[in-house]
Amino acid sequence: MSITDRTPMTARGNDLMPLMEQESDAVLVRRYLSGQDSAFEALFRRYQNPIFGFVSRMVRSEDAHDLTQDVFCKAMRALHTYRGEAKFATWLYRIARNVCLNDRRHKAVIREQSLDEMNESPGVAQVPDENADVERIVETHETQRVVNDILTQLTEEQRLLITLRDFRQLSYDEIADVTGISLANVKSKLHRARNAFKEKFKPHLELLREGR
Amino acid sequence: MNCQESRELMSGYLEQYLTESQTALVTEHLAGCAECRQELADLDETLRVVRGMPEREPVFDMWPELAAMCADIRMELRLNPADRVRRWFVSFILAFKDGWAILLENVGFRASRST
Repeated sequence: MSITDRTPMTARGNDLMPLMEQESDAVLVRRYLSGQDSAFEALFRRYQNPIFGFVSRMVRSEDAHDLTQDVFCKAMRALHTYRGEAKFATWLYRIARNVCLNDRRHKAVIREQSLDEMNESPGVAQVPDENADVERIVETHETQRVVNDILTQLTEEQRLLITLRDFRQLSYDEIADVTGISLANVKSKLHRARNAFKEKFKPHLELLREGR
Repeated sequence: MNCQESRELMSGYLEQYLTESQTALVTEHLAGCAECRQELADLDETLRVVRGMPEREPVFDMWPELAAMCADIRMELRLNPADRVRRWFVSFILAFKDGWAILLENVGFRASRST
């Protein structure tokens, strides 16, 4: 099935969704475990964008939809083991991290993929800024291309840390929880990852400055 | 504090998670070191660019497909252990059969190429 054959984003949800949107994650998990299947859809609706955003930075764009679905399938299978000790979002990111790393290990080709593949794939929509002018859109697109290219040149761990902190804005505690790395190590490793990124980004940064 | 030490702390300095004494040492070093000030500005600006990247969102509603997968999973989870093992065994045999078919096809293809 091609992406264009699929249901558009506007047609979604069922009648119970507005009510369930108010519920906390813990309540939805309890509802699902007690047999209310639609509670899982509410959890999916709540977290599909953050998880998709994370997955699409970690793997090839054309795989992002399938792997996001895979994350939620694995979450459903494991939901009975969720004890509520960590935030539900953190628990879900942990599953997403494992799914992405396994996928990358299986394919082991992410570094070879071209920049165009990542940015021009129809599988990912960039949310447009309505006030942006054409020049700015072109500049943003080019910057996006460069950013993605540099991300593919980093190590798996560096890419993971930058994605969690700088793209998904998780707290350091949450990142430690998702990655299993100690808090002190998260800080130092993230700093090294950012430095590696910054060094590769420098030429583009100069161009951006010149353009202002 | 030297340049190396100051640069190690720059992420923390920007995100304000350093101790008061570390912050004071970095601030003091930056006041007298143009190179480190430039490094800090580069890091700050790079992070702003990264954080300002547009969000990526799915282009279609993934729920209809996922709902079908979830229905299968729910059914599987509700099976008793013996049925679950039987189901797993059947899947394993089918995957094994497919694997053999691919392997034999590959061997046949190589053999035909070498002749």
